[in-house]
Amino acid sequence: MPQPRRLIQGNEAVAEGAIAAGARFFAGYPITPSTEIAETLSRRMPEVGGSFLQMEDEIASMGAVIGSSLAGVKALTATSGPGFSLMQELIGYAAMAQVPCVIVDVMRGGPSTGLPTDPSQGDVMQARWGTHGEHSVIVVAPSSVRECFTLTVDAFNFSEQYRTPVIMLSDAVIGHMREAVALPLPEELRIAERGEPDCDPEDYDTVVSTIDHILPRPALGSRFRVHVTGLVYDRRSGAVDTSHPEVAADLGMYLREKIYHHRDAIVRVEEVGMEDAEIGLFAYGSVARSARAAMKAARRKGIAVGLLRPITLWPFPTAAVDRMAEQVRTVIVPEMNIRQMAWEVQAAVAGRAEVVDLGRVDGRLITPAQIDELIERKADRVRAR
Amino acid sequence: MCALVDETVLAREPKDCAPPRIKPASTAAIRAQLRTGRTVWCPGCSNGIITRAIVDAVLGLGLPQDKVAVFAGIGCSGRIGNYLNYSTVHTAHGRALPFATGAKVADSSLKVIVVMGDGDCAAIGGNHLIHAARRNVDLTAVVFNNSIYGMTGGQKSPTTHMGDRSTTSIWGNAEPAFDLCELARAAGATYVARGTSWAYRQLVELIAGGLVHEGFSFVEAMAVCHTYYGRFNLTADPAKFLLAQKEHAIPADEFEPGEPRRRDRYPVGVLSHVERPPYSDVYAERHARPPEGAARETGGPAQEASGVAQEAGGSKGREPQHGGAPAARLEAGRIEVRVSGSGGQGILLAAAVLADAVAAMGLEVVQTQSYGPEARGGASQADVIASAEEIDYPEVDEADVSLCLSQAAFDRYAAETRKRGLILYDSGLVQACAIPGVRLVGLPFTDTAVCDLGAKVVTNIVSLGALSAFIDWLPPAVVDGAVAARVPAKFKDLNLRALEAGRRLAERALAEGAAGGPDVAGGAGVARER
Ligand code: SF4
Repeated sequence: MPQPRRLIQGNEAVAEGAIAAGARFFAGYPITPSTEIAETLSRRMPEVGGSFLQMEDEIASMGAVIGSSLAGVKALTATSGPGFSLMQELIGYAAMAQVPCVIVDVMRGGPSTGLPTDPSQGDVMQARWGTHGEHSVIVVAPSSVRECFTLTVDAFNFSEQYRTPVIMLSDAVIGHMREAVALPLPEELRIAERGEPDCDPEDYDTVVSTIDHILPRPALGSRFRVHVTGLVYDRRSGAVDTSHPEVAADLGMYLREKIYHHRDAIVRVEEVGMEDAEIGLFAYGSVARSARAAMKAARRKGIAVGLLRPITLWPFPTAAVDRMAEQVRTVIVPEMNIRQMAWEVQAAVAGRAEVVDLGRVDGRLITPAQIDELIERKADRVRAR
Repeated sequence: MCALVDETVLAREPKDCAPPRIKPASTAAIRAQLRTGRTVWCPGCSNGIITRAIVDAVLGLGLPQDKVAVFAGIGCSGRIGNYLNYSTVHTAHGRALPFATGAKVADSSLKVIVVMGDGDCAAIGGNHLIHAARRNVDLTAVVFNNSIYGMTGGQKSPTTHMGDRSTTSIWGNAEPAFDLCELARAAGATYVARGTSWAYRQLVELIAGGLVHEGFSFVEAMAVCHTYYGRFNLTADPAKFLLAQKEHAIPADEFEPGEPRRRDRYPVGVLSHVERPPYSDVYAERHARPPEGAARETGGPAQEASGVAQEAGGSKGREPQHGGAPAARLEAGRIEVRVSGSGGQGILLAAAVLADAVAAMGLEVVQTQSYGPEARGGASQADVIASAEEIDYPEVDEADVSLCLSQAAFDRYAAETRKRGLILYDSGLVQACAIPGVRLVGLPFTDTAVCDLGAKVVTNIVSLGALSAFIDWLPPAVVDGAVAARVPAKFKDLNLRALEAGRRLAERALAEGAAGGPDVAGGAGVARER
């Protein structure tokens, strides 16, 4: 029996997805437009034997989330731009110390207090590069209420599997809209459990995780009695070592490669109508919905438009953009920021097609009509050739 | 003085002030609790003494080594985690308390010790300190207070005294120092003690007292940094510095209440110890019973649809009714409905019920709302899009049907109605002006709610009844079902009567041909391509 369809809000779906993924700890600080995630989990966590903490700020929230995860309990926080900026410090800690956790950023207009109730996609680069230092991160971007649920589950799975913080970039449109959805049943979900390292505690420090065999993080209070640090440490002994450049290099490369080496398994895209496309749309999150509408409208007019929707924003879907660059003459990148992903697309397209950005930073969702107009202009040019 | 205000805190009773007696362990036993004896600390630094005192307290109380988790900050003291053979976390500067809070709340079986320097605890992490004290999670904080930033080479800290020299106060510090124990006590810490690295036995027992205490314990260990603080202000000789601590430390009971604390005269011992249930007990007790009060509402009964937050909740537990084929007219595109009014009129609830009804028809539906600050008083709006197909663009740019329940809403949203669309408005509240190509129908929603039903709060449901009558593919029974599912049983009848009253208003208007105009059968009856 499938789940009944019910009307559910994007932010609520994130909260339910977290519970389904096995998260039993939430710490956060209220901020529009993410607050419903905290509100929902303040009710749901006690129901499932989990904990909810409202902390004094977003830094503390992120600290508590890491503390919980270190204690062996899957944890998440949710915020928006200003709070996301505060969390960057400890997102870096989680990356360095390899602590699985999920950070949900429901993007709003910025910088600063900006447009608290309006959507934006201004944090895509902050999600990638927000914390200091070289690090890798996995970022997912839902474009429907159902995906708010399923990608939260995926985010937790990624975080456990690759021992890394995972960021979900939602936005004010997706977070606040309600759709009638049938959420997946528990038995339809694959849940990555934490487990314990498959070695003796005495050997733990000398057993090295490889990029293909990432040992789970043992919980505090387990027989492994680990030391966790934000300093550079020797991957072989776990001991702090800040005086040997080769140790730092080994750790730095490992932290990057344990994710980039697996990007084919991580990266997820949706490609629609790309087979015969002359114009490709690269759009993510809420804007992908407008792009899809524009694509359908263009196809009704006989213009061959395709849509590439990255579901994971980072690692960047280079292979899919490659395919697109070989296929189309023009790539249009509509996004609610100014050229943040368009630059990245342009670099990947590498001159094989024209890349046109369509940015918007007024707190309004890009409309299908806006994209349509650009498609028409580009199509005319194609026809005129 | 405690700065907390709630009853449980005011009613607190002082507890027995005697910390447990601890017999110091042998050096071999201490060694077994260490990963290494080699540290980065300067020879003569008292960090080693305080570290040993922590281990002695753990051993003296017989705490299981595997269950001790130590969270440290950044600075000289922060390195402690490298040396202790427990589960250890070297956190980020100032953040040891939040990490520890998360770990303890997640796993209550951990015995959590938090080591901080004065910079960690009182500067960058000062906010975390006061909230940890207020929250009263069962943690034992030990602050290595050496009144200076040692790791970075001797800059002043929030416990550097007025006039003290440091590399950032060569003229003498112009700021006063915090009394950390007073700060912690005022913020609600339930066990507060101060010891020195000179009086070792006492320090061990004060830390043990903190570990035994259930709740947030705060132990300030007066530390010796002869390398910087001593050399700049007192003596570069660590032994002389330790002896000076002996002179400066005054037993708490010999210290006059209200006597100002000075650099060379401060009270030591248990300074405050009160009974207050730890956070975990309060949390467990609170969650053992169902929530009470208005804030518990998530779906919000229609009658109490007074605020956005209440209305914005989900529809958990509601069983949607399937059935009803999508109307043929929908198949070509989508229908867009906007409900607008002022905050407190139940706009979002009306839209949510409509969306529920659309979903119950087996159609695709997207419901959105504006969350502007205006939602608390000015015009607010909620939209419903219905379609037989997947809905891509989730916003309404031009509504097919727009319901306006206030003048501000009409002024703001009426123009965003498509040509040949329909605007329904409350004739008692709105002065409507003609909009070319749009059909206007004014009906007395508020009057009907007040005069016929005796309940102004159901105005939104009356208007929803009227609105649904203009959507010819939406059967009344489905709308009734959607309302009934969202309303507590005792208010069900009132709401169903409100719906019915709204429908009658609409039918009368339809029969009279109302203001005349294009396709009355619904601005919503005709779908558009989108
Ligand atoms: S700088 Fe001061 S606090 Fe740091 S190790 Fe040396 S003496 Fe101790």
